Amino acid sequence: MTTAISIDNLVKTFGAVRALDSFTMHVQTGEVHGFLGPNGAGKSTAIRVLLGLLRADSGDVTLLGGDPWQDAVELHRRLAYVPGDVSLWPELTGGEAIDILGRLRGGLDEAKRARLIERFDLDPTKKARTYSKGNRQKVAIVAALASDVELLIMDEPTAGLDPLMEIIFQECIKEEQKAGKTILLSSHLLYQVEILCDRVTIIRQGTDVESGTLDELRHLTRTSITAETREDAGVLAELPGIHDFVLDNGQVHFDVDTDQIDQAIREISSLGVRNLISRPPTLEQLFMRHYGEELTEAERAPEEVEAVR
Amino acid sequence: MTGSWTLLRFILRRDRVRIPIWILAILITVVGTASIFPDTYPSDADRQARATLMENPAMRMMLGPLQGAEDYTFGAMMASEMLGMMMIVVSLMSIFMVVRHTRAEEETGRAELVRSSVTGRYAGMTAVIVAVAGLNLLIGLLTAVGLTATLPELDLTGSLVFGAALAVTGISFGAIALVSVQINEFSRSASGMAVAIMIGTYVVRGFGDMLENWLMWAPISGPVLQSAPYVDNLLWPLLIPIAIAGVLIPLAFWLSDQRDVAAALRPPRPGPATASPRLGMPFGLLFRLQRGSLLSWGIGLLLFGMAYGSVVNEVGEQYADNPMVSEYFAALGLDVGELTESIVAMIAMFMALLVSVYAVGTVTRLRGEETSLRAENILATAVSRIRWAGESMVFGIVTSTFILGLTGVGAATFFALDSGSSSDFWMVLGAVMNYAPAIWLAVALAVAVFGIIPQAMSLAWFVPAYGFFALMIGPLLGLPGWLYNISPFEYVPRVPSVDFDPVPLAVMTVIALGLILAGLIGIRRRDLSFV
Repeated sequence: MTTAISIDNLVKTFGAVRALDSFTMHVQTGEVHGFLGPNGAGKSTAIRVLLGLLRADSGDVTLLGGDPWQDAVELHRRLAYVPGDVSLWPELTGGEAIDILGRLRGGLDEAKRARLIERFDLDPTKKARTYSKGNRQKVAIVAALASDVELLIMDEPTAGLDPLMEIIFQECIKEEQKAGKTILLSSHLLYQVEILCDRVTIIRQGTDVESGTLDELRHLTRTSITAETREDAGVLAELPGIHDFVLDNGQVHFDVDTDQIDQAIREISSLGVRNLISRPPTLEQLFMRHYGEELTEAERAPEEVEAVR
Repeated sequence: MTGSWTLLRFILRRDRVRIPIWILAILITVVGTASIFPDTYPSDADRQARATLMENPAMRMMLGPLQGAEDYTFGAMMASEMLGMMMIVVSLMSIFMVVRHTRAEEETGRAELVRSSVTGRYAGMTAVIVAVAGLNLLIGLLTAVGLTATLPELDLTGSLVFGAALAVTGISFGAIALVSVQINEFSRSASGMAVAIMIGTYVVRGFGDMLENWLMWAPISGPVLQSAPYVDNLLWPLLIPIAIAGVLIPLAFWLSDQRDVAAALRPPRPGPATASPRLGMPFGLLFRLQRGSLLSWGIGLLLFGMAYGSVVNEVGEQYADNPMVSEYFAALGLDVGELTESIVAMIAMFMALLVSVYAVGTVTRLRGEETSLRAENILATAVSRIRWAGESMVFGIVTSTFILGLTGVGAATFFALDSGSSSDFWMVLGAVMNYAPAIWLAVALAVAVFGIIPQAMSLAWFVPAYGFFALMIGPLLGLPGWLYNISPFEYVPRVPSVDFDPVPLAVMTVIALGLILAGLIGIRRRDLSFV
C-alpha cells in the first residue's frame, strides 16, 4: 500500500498564531481517511497547505508523490477539492459552475454529472446567487465527484446538507472508495466519520492528538453497560476501570475501560443477569474525552484558551 | 410599525462609522471648495471669466444650468458648479443605505430573524426611511451652516436652499431605492436599478440643459437645479422631489405586502444548465464575468468621447482670450497659445483617467475573488496562480486599451466632422492613445499591490485618484510642480499641445513591466489570504 498524503511535523503560523504545530498525518492510497477536530483546530489550514494555497513554514508534505507547493498545477489534475464554504460566481448557474470547475481540472464525466445532479436533486439552471448554502455545497460535490481524479479532498463537505442528502453523500463516498479513490474527509460530525472512514486523524490546536483505525482508537475509550441483576450490583463499583457508576433500583449503569471489560462481564454474570445492554464506544466519547478533559485544563490556563482561538 | 424605533437605533449603531464618514466627506468637499473661492477668484473680473468658461453646452450637460451668469457671485458658483455633483453624491449615499438595510438584509437571511421577533411588517422599512431622511436633513443643515460660516458672501437663505436641495434629492432617491428593493431580489440589482434611474434622469436632464428645452425639467435633478440657491432661491421646484418621495414611499410599503420576505416582485429567470464550451477556455470565465462591465464602460466612454469631440472647437473659439483659462492650462503644462489643441490634450487626459478607473478595477477584482474564497475554487484546479492573475491582467490591459481607442475614435470622429479636416481625426486619436502606457502603468501597479501587499489593495486606486486630483483640483489649489509629478499621467507629453516624445512613454512601459514582474513573483510566492 502506498501513501497518498504524507505530512510530517508541519508548522504553519499566521503572525503570532501557530495554526499548525508539528502536525503529522498519513493517508494511504485507497482509504477513506477521517480528519476530525473542532472548528479552529487547523483542519482547513492543513488542507490549504495540501492544496498549495498556503505555504508550509516547515515540515515535510508530500501529496501523490509530489510537492503540493511546487507541483500544484500537475497535482491538481489528479485531485478534486470540496471546500466547507462553497463560494460561487453569483451570475453563473450551478450547472455552469460545475462544468467550469470540471473543465479547469481537466474534464468531467458527463453521464456521471447527470446522474449526480439527479441524485442530489440539484436544479442546475438556477443562478448561484439564488442557491442556499446546501445547494452551493451540492454544486462543489457534484463537480468533484464527476471529475476523473484519484484523490478527493473534502473539507466538511456536508455542512448545510439535509439528512437525506447526507445519506446520498455517504453512498457516493462508499462508491468512490470501491472505485479505488483515496478520500480525505475533514469533519466534525463523528457519526459520519464512523460510517465512512477506515482510519482517522484527530487534530487539536494544530497538533495531531490521535491517529489510527477506528478499532485502534476504540481501545482508548470505554464501553458503556446498562444491566439488571438478581443480586445487588454494588460490588461492581470497586472493580478497576469502572467509571460513572450508578445503581438505581436494581438497574446498574457504568462505563468500563476497554481493557477491563472482560473482568467486568465475568463479575456481572455471577450476579445473575436479567437484562444487559452494552453500547460500543462511540467516537463521540473519544472526542469528548480528548476535548472535554483538555478543555477543562485550558480553562485553568487562560493563555491556552487564547491559543484555541 | 412595532419595533421601528429599536430598528432605527440598530441601523444607526451599525452605521456608526459610515454615517460620520459620509457627513464629513460631503461637508469637506462642499465647504472646502467654497473656502478657496476668495483666493481663486479675487476680483469681479475673475468671477466673470469663470462664468464665461462655464457657459457652454457640455458644462450645462454635466453640471446643470448656469445660474446668475450676469453677476457670477460665489453663490452662483455653488449653484452652477457644485450642486449637481453633490446631488449625485447624496443620491448614491441614500440608495446604498436603503438597499444595505433592506434587500441586503433579506438576502443574507438576517431580515427573517428580525421579522420573526416582535417587529411589525413595516418596521424595517420605516426605520430605514426615517434614518435616510434624518441623515439627509442633517447633511443639508450642516452644509448650510458650514457654508455661511465659512464664507459670509454665501448668505444664510441661499445656504439653506442649497442644503434643502441636497436633502430632498437624497430623500427622494432613498424612496426610489425603497421601491427598487421590492422589485429586485438581490441587493446588486436593486441598487443597480436605482442608480440607473439616477443616471438616466440626470442624463436626460443634461440633454435638456444642453439644448435648453423642456427636458431640463426631468425629475429629480432638473427641478432641484432650477431652485438656483443664492441666485433665485426658488423653493417650489423642491416640492417636486418631495411629492415623488411622498408617492413612492407608500407605494413601496404597498408593494412589500404583495411579496414574501426574501422574494421579489420580479422573479429570477433560469439560466443554462450546462456551460458553453467557451467558458472552459482561457479568458472564457473572465470574459463572461466581466462582459457587463466591459460593455457599459465601452458604451459610456464612447458616448463621452463623442460628446466632447463635438464641442471642443466651439469651446476653443469661445475662450481664446480668457485669462483664467490660460492660467488653468498653464498650470497643467499646456501651450496656451494653441487653445483648441490644449483643450484636446486636457480632454484626452480626462478620458484616459476614466479609462484607468476601469483598468484598475479589472485587477482589483482579483482581491475580491480571493477574499470571497472563489479564487480557492479555481486555484484548487489545474490553473496556476500566474495564469489566474495573468488572465485578468492581460484582459485589463487589452480591454482598457480598446476602450481608450473607442473613446478616442468617438472624440476624433466628431471633432473632425465639426472641423471638416481629416487630419484632425488623427491628431485627436493620437492625443488620446498617447495615454495608453500610463494606463498600463496603473494596471501594473495594481498587479504589484495584489502580489505583494494584497491587504492594501486600495493603494491600487492611487493612479486614477491622484490623476483626477492633479487634473481637476490641482490648478485650483495652485499646487507646486513636484506635487503634480507624483502622478504618472503628468509624464505623458501633452500632445497635441506639445510635440510627441516617445521617451517618457517607453520609460513608463518599462516601469510597468517591472511592476508586473514583481507582482507576478509575489503572487507566485505568497499565501492566499482571506482577510
